[in-house]
Amino acid sequence: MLSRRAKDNLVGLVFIGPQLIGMLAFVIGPMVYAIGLSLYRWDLLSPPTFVGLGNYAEMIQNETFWKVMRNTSYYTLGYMALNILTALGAALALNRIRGKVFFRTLFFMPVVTSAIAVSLIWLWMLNPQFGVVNTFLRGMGIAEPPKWFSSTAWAMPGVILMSAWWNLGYNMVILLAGLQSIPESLYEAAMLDGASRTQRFTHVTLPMLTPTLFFVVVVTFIGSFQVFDQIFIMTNGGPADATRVMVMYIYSLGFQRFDMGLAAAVAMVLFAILLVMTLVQFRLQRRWVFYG
Amino acid sequence: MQQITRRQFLAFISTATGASVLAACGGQPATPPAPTAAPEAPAAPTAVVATPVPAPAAGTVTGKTVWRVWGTEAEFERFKMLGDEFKKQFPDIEIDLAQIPTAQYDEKILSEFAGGSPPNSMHTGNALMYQLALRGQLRPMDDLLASDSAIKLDDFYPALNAPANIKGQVYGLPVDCNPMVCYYNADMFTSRGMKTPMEEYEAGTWTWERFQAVAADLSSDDVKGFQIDTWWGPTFSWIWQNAGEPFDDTNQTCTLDSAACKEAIAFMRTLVLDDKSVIYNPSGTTGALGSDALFQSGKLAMASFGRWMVPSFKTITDFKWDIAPLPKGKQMAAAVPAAWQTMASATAPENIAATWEWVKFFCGKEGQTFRLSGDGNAVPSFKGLEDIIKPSEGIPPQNYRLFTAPLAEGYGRWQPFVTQLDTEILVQTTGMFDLILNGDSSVDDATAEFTPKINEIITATRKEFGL
Repeated sequence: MLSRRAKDNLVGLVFIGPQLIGMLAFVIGPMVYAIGLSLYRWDLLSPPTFVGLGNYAEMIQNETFWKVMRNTSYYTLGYMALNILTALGAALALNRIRGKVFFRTLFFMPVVTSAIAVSLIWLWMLNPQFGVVNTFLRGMGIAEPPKWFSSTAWAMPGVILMSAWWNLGYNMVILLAGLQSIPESLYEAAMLDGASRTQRFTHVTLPMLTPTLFFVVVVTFIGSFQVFDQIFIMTNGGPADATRVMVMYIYSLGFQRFDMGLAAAVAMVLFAILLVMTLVQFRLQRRWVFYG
Repeated sequence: MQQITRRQFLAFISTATGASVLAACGGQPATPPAPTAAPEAPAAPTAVVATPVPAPAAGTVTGKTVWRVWGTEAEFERFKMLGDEFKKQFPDIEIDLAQIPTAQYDEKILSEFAGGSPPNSMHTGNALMYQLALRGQLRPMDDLLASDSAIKLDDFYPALNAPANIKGQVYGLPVDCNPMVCYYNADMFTSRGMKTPMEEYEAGTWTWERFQAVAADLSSDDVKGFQIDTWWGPTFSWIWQNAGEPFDDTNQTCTLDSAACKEAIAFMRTLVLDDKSVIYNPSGTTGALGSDALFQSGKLAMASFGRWMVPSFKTITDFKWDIAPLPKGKQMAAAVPAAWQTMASATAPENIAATWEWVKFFCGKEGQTFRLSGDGNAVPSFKGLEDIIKPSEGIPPQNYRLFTAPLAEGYGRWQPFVTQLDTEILVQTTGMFDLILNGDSSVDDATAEFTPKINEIITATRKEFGL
């Protein structure tokens, strides 16, 4: 006879069983498989060869690996700053206006639009010769506007600009929800104390919004380090590798160069970066996130 | 280094997965067991000893063939119709046909090979054909060709047979090809009272100098003379026209830093940066920045493509267009992208005859005529079929015979063998063109920087394949 406690545990296991099996099969399993794979040289077609940490050694000596690391970091910093600041600005602007639902829907529409459609439109808009952006800049008196995706210096800013616009609505909706959960009584108390609009923002809005901001920062960081779709469509990593990022590098190593072991090694590094940076952010949140 | 079998590898991964899960439950670190070691063998392709197959009479062959192809929905419909035609002659052959979107084609094919159930025959581009052949995954066709009088290599243009000859064996038959030519917006020329490129060609004056002058005359803020797309076809065409070779003829060295190559690249740079009459499309960006979209919207006076743009350009009603050869430098030259039909080495013996009949039919006179007549988007690789691509009277391109001229006249060039060995070679090459054509680097500096880098990749790759 099972004890009552054992029965409860069994029932609990049955309930979480499907989820657990799914997680083992599709998350933990592939992850461990990838760790094992990173220790082999394997072209998918011939028998794998055990090389120990050889793939990692090759990776750190590879100039392209460091280039994609730099590019990915550049994209992440630029995208996070631009996206979060504009999303916060938009959320603040929409927080107290009429027709909030309409504007929220409007801002969210690009998020549910396919990467291909958005990317192609931005390719046209940022066309150096005939695009609407450069036509406008020339009209403003800038004789030599940026060459955007034709220039090694401007291609990544172009990708950041497009991505920040594309995903603006997602973070904006989350921040807007955060803003609306701030009790009105706090603002009333601050006004009674004579707080100005700026003081209300810095002493009420921002502190109360920090849990939401923390979530947004963590999620945006993870997402931006894994950027792929729009770059694959718009620049395919060019010109001259200026926009080649980590996931694209992993893809090309695995499926274009038939080097699954090295691709897995780079994927492991990407995983480690995301894990460490997320842990660091959780550690640092104690200093700036207010759960009052 | 140690080599293990696929079974041992999978056993290791399974054990590692199980150990890791158990360790996670028990809070102990997982240490995967070391795989059983075996001495490393050189990565030589496993040669397929083929059994000669006698040429059968139509209708006597039975069996099944699994076939993979890329393409659009419209092309797929045509392939299905071709399959129906084939069935009329070979009612006892079952064709398992599947179309894969072009963008995911190589990955899907690779997954099927890795999963141990490759198709019997398939479309391939150069790179995939080389990668699979050098790893012993493709079946040489020499014995089939030798024992079958219905089709022979001489039926195809020699330039297209050469790329499929890998280590002295034939691994594919050319499906079709797409020699590059110069498309031009005829209205732009005639409205300015200028000779069209075709008229220049007929007068013997269609040279680099004339091209440069024409591009400058037609260029304005709203329109550019030409766009250079920086993939191997357009960029290498310029080099070949200048009698240069991006790679030496032994396929061991990148020679982009040779005088003839640098001179050609410098000419391209002059057109883009000094004359500003030609724009360039960096590696990677296609679609909206591609020459096709710009030409179609009347923003380019000239552009270079193969026949693949004809179906799209037939819808142009705003202006008249046609084609001419690419301009002549020190010599005529044009890139010829192409595709092949290959056979997998894993094809079961009982399906070889059926697969061969299908490959033969698809690449042969009948199959090419069916596929490429009228609105087809490629040029026959089978000799003597030039006229099947003739459009109706008044429908462009009236100069359609120029599509086959690079092959018929012997100035068509295929993708250099060495660039098929590692995609990184072309990535670096086009990256070099990006830096030069956007003004970030001089021709001398960029070629001096990239040539040794590309040579390093070539050396490593050749070593890997034992070449």
